[in-house]
Amino acid sequence: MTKAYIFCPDVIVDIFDEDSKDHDWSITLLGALNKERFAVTCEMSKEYKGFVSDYHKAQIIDIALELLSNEKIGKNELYILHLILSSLDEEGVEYKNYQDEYLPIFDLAEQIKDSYEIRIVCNNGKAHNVENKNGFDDKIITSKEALTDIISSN
Amino acid sequence: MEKQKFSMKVELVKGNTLKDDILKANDLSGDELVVKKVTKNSPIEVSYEKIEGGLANFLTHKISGSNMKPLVNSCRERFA
Repeated sequence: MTKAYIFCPDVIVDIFDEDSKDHDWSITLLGALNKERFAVTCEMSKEYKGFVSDYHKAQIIDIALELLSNEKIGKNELYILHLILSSLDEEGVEYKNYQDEYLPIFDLAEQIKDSYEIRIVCNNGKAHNVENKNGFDDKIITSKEALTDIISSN
Repeated sequence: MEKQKFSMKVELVKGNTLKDDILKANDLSGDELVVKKVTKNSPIEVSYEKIEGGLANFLTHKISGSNMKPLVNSCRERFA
């Protein structure tokens, strides 16, 4: 059973935001997905992967590079961000003119639907309100629920 | 600690230690590996100690010693 966990940008920010109530869940989810990624190389039957859209990844990197050039963050912070983003696979098209922040997520889900039987969007904010929007029928859950899902299925 | 055994093929590079090659082949840096058995023509059998939350622990440690707040604030503003 192949499962793709698509990270919305708020979950990625929760990973490096120590003050977020979802920090622990989000960082542990990232760690759990990377352990499962390793399991794939062991030819185990299950496959889980974390994804970020090209669009959101580019946006976050642009923000980080601007902060770096203004010396508001240093190379250490950029390195941490790199570790997080490189732990996720990236898919999608880096459209410059998305009017809706959820569309890159929906496009990513559509793009990988032939490779992953189940696609789960991880969002710790308001995405539940847009479920079924634009015909999107994949599950949208929090990082806590996603982590619980992984643990309970092993 | 969770122990797991598996087999894999590793390309041995002259000058590297076996552990270096295993880590490189599987991008396992930061985790702990113990080689149990090596045979000449078969995949290498190792035991792999998965440190619970390996990447998560590493990131937690790195984040606690950094200043991520400007990045957090800017990203929250952008993705509000």
